[in-house]
Amino acid sequence: MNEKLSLQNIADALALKAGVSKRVADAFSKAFFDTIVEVLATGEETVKVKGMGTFKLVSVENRESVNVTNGERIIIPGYKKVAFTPEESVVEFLNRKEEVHAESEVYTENTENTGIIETETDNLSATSVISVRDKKSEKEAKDDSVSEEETIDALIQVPEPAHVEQPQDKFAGIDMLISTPESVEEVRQQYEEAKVKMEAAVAEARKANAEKMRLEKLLQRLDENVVPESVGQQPAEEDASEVQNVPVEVVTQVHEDENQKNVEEKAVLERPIPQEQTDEEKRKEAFNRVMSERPKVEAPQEKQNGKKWWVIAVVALLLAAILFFLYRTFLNIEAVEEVPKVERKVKPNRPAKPTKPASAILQDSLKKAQQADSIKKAQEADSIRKAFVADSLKRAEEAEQERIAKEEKAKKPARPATHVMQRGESLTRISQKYYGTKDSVRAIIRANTFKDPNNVPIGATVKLP
Amino acid sequence: MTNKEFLERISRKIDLEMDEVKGLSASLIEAVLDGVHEGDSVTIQGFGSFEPRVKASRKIYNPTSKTYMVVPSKTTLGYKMSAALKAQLNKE
Repeated sequence: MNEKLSLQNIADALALKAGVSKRVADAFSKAFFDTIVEVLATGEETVKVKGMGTFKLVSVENRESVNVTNGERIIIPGYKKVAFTPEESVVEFLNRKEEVHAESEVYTENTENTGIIETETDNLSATSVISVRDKKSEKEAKDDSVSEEETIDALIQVPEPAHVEQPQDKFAGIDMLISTPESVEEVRQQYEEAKVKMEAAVAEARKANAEKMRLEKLLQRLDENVVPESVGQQPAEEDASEVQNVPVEVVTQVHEDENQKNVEEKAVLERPIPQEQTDEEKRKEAFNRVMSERPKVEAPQEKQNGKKWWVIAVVALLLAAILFFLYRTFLNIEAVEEVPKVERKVKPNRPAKPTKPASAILQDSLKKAQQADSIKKAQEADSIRKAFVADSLKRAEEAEQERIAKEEKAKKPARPATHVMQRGESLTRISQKYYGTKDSVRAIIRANTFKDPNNVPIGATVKLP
Repeated sequence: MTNKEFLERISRKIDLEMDEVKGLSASLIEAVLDGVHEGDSVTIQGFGSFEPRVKASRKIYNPTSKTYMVVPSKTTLGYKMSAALKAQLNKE
């Protein structure tokens, strides 16, 4: 009691429970909680752990407070925290130690001490038979708020202990508790209703069982079809005897299982079996048929295949030739295109040589002029291309900016200078609407002169700073 | 993240089969709950602590039938995250 257990203790307990080595248990329990942390750290909102509950990431907003020592306003920054909601089953498990059922009870003046009630209910359940016989007198003596739920349970259990079905609806129980004076009648009614329900359930179960029998019979017949003897009489006789057994079986089953579900489930489970059998047979037949037909079909196919191979080979050769031709012409075009580029690259590196004869120099200069010309052209083309690229980039950027601006507009409506108060609006809400945070309330109040910031009249114009 | 995804992640992390992970996680949770059931608090370093939290019984008023009822006290599983986890989640 009230000890502090660590991960190590838990891992040890886990090793004992699951029958694994301590090393594995240690590694697993570490990995278990580490994974939760990791997942939450990646921004995942919730982690559901079955059998335990839900871990949820919750963000706490900024809030204002006052520094106690000097009276200054300070802002406590918001943060993220992990909230945990336990599963229903967990809560149930933790409350299991108290054996007294935890249900709401009618509150009367005497219900102050719960301890007394518990002892009284215990007494009552011990003497529940008496409480049923003279319930009226018991009720009259019950100004000390005994749990009436107990008497109801007793009522249903005592006269016919075999009836396991109890009114489990909590609300029905509460409703009954509310109207204390008529509760005796209502208890009786409840009992009557329960009985009717039981009978209906039994009838249904009987139906389900009969169905089951019928199916079983069908199955049998299917089996017997293989050996076609005495199809008519035997099953019918068996059927009759089984049908006679039905009620007994049903009753016992209902008493054991509390409901007819199991029976129905059985019936459902058994229903598809005959179909499956026939299906399988059909499949087998089909398979056999195909097997027998196959060799006839395959022989001509092989002959055809030989022809096909020839055709495919010829077509492939043709294709290859065409491709090769296309590739060569394409290469030629590319080579032609590349010539000026090469010249341009080579040119600037070449120094002028003064030792050359005049004619050579002339030729050289001519060449240079030509080359310069071609370079100029290339440069012009280059610059045009650059300009074009820059232009298109600019346009793309502008479009992008426009889009972003539009999106922002869509997100936040443009903030007007003033706002007219509507019914049901508060300054906090206005702040949330125009600034996206509640913290701007103070700024709004500062920019305006309100009589009472907590109660701004409808129709008042609020300046938005 | 659902329970299945969570268990898959664990199984990838420590290289165990899904079935084993399922069984182990159920046992682990049971171990934690057993501890809490006894009234102990279970502290896991870097994650937080689990403890039994007692919700007091309270009176409720049913306006239609004009009666008061007592909702009995019950114990739930309380969780508080550790300072280390808080620091990790609020790093930015």
